Amino acid sequence: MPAREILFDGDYGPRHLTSVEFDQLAALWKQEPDAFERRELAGLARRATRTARFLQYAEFVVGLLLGLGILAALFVQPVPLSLALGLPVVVTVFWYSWKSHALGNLALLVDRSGRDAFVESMARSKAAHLARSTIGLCLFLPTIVVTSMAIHSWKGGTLDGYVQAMALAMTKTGGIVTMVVLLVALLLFIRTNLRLRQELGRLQLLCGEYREETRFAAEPG
Amino acid sequence: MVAEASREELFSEVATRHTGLISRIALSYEADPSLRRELMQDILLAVWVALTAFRGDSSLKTFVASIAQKRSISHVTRRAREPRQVELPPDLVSGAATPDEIAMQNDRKKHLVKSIQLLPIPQREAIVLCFEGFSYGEVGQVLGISPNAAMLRCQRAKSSLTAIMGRDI
Repeated sequence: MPAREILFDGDYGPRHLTSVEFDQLAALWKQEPDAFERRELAGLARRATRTARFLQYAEFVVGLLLGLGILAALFVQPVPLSLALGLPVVVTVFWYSWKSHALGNLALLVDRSGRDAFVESMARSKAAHLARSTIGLCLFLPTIVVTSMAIHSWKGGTLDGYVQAMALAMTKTGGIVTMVVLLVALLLFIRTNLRLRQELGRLQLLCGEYREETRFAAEPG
Repeated sequence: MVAEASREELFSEVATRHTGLISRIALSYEADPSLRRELMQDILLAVWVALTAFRGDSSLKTFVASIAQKRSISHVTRRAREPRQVELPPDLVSGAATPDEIAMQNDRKKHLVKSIQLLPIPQREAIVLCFEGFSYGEVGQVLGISPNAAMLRCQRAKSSLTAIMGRDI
């Protein structure tokens, strides 16, 4: 039976949708698309098929190229130990790239648990992504400092002269370009982190909405 | 699991029979036409990928509706604002009616779509499925809830929609 039957509440409480009104709204909602929209929809379907086939093999090709690159590096100077370690890596890369293109986000899409569980799963995934982003952001500057200290040390510099060397480097063209690149990278990190926080906030609100619906359905009477 | 040839046939059936459903589900989440086209493309791609796991234990329409709504939820949670209050295209309604009738129907449909977009997402999903003719059992299948819970959610959605639309039903 179509999900359109609803009791009319009469004079008590809020007005409910009559079945006639519901049918009218449903007919309005489902009005057939015109010829232009039908062509547009057919075009979208064709593009989706082409994109899916392209992505299906692109990831595998990337894995193949990576594997071939590793193989080439291994066999330029073949050493038994590097071959023994490298070949399993190559096999794993081939296997992983084939598997991952097959799976994609399949598990999440076809998950048959409730919609609330789906949204909560998305929220957990987003929270984990945010945590990784936050850690990366916190480690960004210390990593820059440690790396620059290592380079300074490798060039024969001492810890005492590090600050002076960095100040001098920043007055040179190469140093200025590096600072600009690092600043842009930092701003992108921050923007990504803020975006992830906003998305997580929306997902958490949505989880609350689903919990509200579930609570309502569970209440007696 | 579905073989490659079967997936082609199933996707062809989706493209032939269910793109209207996908389009309307996308419309309930995204008013901006260009973003809606992106969302529909995303949904179709997701359906293509997910068809490998289609076991036939639900109808293809139910399967497609579930994928479409999940993708739409991902879409709106990524957007900065939701729902986007963009002016809907003037030709939302088609048909061989007179220009006055078309204009009236356009206004009614715009009001209906905007009202649906204002519903909380759990109720929005339910009301759209109701409008699409799904039974409570099928609504429950799509949403992963019991038929009884689906019925209650649909009724709450109808009440909320009535309250939003007011006298303009």
